[in-house]
Amino acid sequence: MAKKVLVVDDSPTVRQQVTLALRQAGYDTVEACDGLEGTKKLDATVGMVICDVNMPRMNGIEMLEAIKREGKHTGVPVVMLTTEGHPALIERAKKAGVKGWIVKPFKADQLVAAVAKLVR
Amino acid sequence: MWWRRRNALSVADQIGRPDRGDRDDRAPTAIAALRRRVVERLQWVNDLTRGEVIAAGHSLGEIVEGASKHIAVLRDVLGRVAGDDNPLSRSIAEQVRLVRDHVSDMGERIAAHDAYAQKASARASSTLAAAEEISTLARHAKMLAINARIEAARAGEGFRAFSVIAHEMAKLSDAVAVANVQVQRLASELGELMPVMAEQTADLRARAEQFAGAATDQMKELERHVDSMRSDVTATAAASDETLAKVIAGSHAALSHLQFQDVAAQRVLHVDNWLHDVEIELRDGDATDVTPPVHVEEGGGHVDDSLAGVVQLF
Repeated sequence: MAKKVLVVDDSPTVRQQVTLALRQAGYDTVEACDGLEGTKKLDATVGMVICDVNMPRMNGIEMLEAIKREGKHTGVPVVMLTTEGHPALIERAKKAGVKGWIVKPFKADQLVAAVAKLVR
Repeated sequence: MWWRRRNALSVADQIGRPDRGDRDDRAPTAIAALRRRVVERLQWVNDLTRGEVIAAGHSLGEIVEGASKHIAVLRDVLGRVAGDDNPLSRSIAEQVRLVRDHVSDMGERIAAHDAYAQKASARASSTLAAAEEISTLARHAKMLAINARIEAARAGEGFRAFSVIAHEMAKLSDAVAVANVQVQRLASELGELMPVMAEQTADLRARAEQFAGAATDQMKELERHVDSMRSDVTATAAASDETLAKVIAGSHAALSHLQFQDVAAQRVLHVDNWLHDVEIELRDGDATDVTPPVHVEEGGGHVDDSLAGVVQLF
């Protein structure tokens, strides 16, 4: 059975591009349009989360912190995929347990390589 | 960048370069109008391009999916043709085995036939020798019968019965001699047939060996063709894999390009955020500097172009 990756981004184009790259590499994907929907779709079948930072309702860092607070899926690796690169933001995410930081525009093969390394 | 130059002129024109401490209500209004225009323009650009980008992504997906399916089918077919366990190879191997078995069986039968022919030839010779012996015995028996008849005639009427027996013996020996001549003729004919039969057997054996040789050569040629075809098929499969890898690499590259629509939109949003900050500061009356922050000047928000595509794993 293919490993499943939760893709959280408010941009449908980015969700589609990430999904396309991952499906080509043999992964299954599930999409969410913001952090709030992401936390709802995160379950035991998800092996990894790829998450944007700037999103409406709940941003990526808040989602990460919510996952940590809730404590049920803390073992699922989360990687941020964002245009942001501010060191303070990265530090905050690291404190919340982020496992990787990828700056857009991403390269599909690098994304797939990162997923291959972290996915459970 | 186009947006920076245009926005800088608009800000300067519309806020009228306010002095420090000089509160002007027109400035935040102008900034708000500017923001609305930026957001409207962003929305327009986004609406215009997003559908196309998504369609391009779908097309890419279909291309890769189609190519992957095609290659999978091709590999399956090629695997069946080129694999060690493919029907063609199995059939050829089976045919080779059958031909070899038949040739071997034919050789054994010819050898058995030859052995029987040699035995028959020996028996024919023995029959001729036995016939010679019988002929000699028949001659002796006839001589004995003649002598017996002479002696019976000399002995008179009292030995007449003996004379009849001697006469019958003479007739019997004549019959044996006649039958023996027939046996000799048949044995002689059989003896003459044996070399012909041996010659034909030898010819049959030579033809069988020739056929076996030709069949083996043909089978080897066939196996060479199959090996060559298998090699071609393997090369085709490798070329197909290479093509698929190129299609996937191309689609990955195209995906990277398609992301710029979203990245551009995010950067315009950063400008909008900055304008929002300026608007708030002007409204609150403590606007000391409306110069875009360095990160906005450089790339639109917190984006550092040198980081694009960078993957950090912790």
